[in-house]
Amino acid sequence: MENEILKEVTESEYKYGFITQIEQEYAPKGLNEDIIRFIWEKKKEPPFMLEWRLRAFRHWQSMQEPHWAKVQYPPIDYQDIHYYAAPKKHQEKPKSLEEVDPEILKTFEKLGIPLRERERLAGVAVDAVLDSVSVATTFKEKLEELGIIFCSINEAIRNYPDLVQKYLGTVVPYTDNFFAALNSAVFSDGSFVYIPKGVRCPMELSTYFRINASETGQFERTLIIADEGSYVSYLEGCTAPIRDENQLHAAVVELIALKNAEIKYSTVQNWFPGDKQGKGGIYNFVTKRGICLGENSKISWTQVETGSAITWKYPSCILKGDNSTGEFYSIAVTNNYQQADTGTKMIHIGKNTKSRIVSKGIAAGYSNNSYRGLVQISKKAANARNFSQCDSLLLGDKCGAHTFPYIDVQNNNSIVEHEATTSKISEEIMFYCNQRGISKEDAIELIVNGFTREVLNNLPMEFAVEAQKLLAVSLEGSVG
Amino acid sequence: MSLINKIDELLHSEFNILSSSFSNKEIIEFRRNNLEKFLKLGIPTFKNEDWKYTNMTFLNDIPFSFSFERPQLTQIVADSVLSFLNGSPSTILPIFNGKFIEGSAVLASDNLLVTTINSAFENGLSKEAIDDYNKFYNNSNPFIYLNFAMFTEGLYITVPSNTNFVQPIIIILGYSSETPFISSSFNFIKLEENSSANITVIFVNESNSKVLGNETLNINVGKNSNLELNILQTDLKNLITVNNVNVQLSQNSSFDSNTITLHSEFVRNNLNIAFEGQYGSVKLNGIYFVDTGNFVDNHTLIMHDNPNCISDENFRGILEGRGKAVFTGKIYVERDAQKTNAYQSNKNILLSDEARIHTRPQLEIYADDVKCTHGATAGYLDQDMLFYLKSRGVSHIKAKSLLLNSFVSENIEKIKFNELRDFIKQKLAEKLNLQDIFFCDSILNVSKDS
Repeated sequence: MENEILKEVTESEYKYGFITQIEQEYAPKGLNEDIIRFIWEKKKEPPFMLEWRLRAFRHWQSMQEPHWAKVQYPPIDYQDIHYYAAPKKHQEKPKSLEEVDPEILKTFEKLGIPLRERERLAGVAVDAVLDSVSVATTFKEKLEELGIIFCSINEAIRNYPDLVQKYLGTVVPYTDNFFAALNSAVFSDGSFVYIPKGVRCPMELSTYFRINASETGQFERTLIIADEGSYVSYLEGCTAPIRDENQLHAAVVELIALKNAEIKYSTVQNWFPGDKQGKGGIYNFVTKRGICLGENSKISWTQVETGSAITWKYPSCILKGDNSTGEFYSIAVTNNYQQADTGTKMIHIGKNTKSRIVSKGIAAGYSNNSYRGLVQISKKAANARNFSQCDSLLLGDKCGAHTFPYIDVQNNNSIVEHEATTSKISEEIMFYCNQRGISKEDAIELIVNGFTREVLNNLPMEFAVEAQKLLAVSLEGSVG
Repeated sequence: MSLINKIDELLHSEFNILSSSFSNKEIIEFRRNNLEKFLKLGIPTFKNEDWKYTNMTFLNDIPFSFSFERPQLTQIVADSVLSFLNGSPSTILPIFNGKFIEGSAVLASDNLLVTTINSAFENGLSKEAIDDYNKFYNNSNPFIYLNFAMFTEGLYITVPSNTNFVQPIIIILGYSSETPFISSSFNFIKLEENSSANITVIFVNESNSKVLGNETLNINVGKNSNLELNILQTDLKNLITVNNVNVQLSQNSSFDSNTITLHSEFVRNNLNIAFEGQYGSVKLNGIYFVDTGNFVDNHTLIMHDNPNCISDENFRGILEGRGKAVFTGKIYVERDAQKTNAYQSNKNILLSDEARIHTRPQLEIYADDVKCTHGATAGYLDQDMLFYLKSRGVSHIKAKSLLLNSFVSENIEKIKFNELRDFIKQKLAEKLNLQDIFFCDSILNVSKDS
């Protein structure tokens, strides 16, 4: 029975694996200063960006790829990747949806992303990014009325250089780590959000990332600034076609919350995870970090990680402002030969700062699922409070679940608590359900649902549905 | 000259003297190999994940030497143990500056087989007995290699099968030196089938200059055998302690340890446990207290290589002044080790604003039918509880005593060696500046007082 069910899971198809046939324009393979100039020219950026990119590139050359994470992969040849790929027809970003290549529109429709504004019912403003470029941003005008800037980062660099220059790289400097340096040198697009003082963003903002071209990497950069007293909820989704090769995705996300502001950042990551033999799939090396700069600010990360061959991702919060709050809710599901090393960092600097970590890992097949997190209470962070909970569920006896929390406390008026459990679905619970006439399948769904509920509850409505469906697909009856 | 260079030089001079104490060629070769491994790895820096919070590079600035002479046991060291034994019969085995002082040893029973590791090697103990523990000698702990290369002597203790040692066996690791030196002993304890023993290792230092006490204790617990191991490290000034304990458990055996580190300058305990058979049980308990100028790092690894084993780990720490403490606990569950139950808990109370705690409880699990949990907390004395007690007429110091008492008593009460337990209670009360209330039974006295 167990084998049958496991087989079913491992054979469930990746729905988003199709390839869109459009003419693409590539930068030549490899990475050098000329490529960076090429990207800079393509993007028509102001000169300060070229300098910044080149500084990042030179720094990157002096760095070594990190290998401390609990993941294994063959060495990546950074010279064998196209660092820029764009649909040919989109030399310029189209002014309106009518100008967007119908093939691309079809692609996003197939993915269930409503780009057409007539589909207002969805109530989500979307920035759609295909490979290296943003192809469409919806609801722009409506948001502009409130003073909200929501556009591709490329447009932001050209139209709001002051804002970008003030904040870009302040949370994740290019010196931060190997992949952040690489991203800073070559990032091609991404989203930019600015919420002005006292504005509550009336709809969910969303970016949908799609890798289409082969032998490319996607390097996007997202920058979200919530000015004093504002609120924004931001969603991010990602998919990629089924390919034999491994593709690199190295993104950087920076969040800045000023006084009394709140940012809610949700991700449903569903990159192609590789086939059941572990061939292909996306290497997802992402640096995400937010800073609660002002008092009473709040940053909340929610992530559902189901895709990618390798996930290396630690959405973090720097709690600098007094009374600020950081939250991290995560579900990481790994199957087949997927490897995930994910977690968070909560750096408490301000007084009365609070953080909460809830991480649920589910490992099946031959996969390895690790939680790695740091809670640091600095000397000045009086009355800081942290609670962390990391639970792992093992489905099958070939997978692994690991927990590596780091706790570092430097004062005597803070409380840090960490707890973790690892287990499989106990026979007692299964028996209890079966006894009451609940079938094995339903019981597992019930238990997994309960196991992940705390995190799912924190997802915005639109995403919760998708996430639940995703979980159902990847875990359908996967325990015996 | 850095320590590495110094030891490199030794390879050509003193190392040969050291090697000459063995005629066994295999062991000389073994030492040489380990010396090379150590030289290759060097002193660990914070870049080594297992030594992230324990930077040992200061060793390079200390002009260490090695000493191979057999010293006399000093009175201070000898008294240190007798002070709390209260005349109860025990086996006492002193190792002083890395040498076994046979003349001062007390053997309470003829059943116990005690010899030096050197003569054990001369009499046919092969180096495979050491290599058996290979899984613990990973590249992250170069001090084990240094110990194997440079150990001067050590004990080879055998508890024969079907014997139960009720009386405690005490091993003293004593140090005394006027110049900085490195002392290493390599000890081996073997419990044969159906036996039990209670062993206590006590560190005593009376040196006026820095001493690196780099000790290794390999333990093999046979089938159906039980061992209780207590490690006592109190008031170790000037001693840089690196204590490596490697334990292998056979089927149906149990190992309980209590690691007590109070007010010591620099202590690193590496406790490595592996289940070699099924149905084993391990309990690792620890208490540590650090004040200004103190550092303690408890690094534990429990390898569940076999099914149906239980491990329970519980470390409690109190931090005062500018004390710094580190805890790293790793539970590793191998793919076949189904039905494993592993629990781990590390709790800390920080009494001062300047104290610092790093704790890393880690789980690495490859089997699915397991129950593994870990928990870690860092907090302070609960002001509400203090208030509750004070509002009922209990003085501040008594209230604090009561709370701290309840915090550590769970672990103290697990020590089965009565005299040692009382001694630790007394020491803790002294260190924490508490009244004699610190004895658990005196809780009753509180109600009488108020």
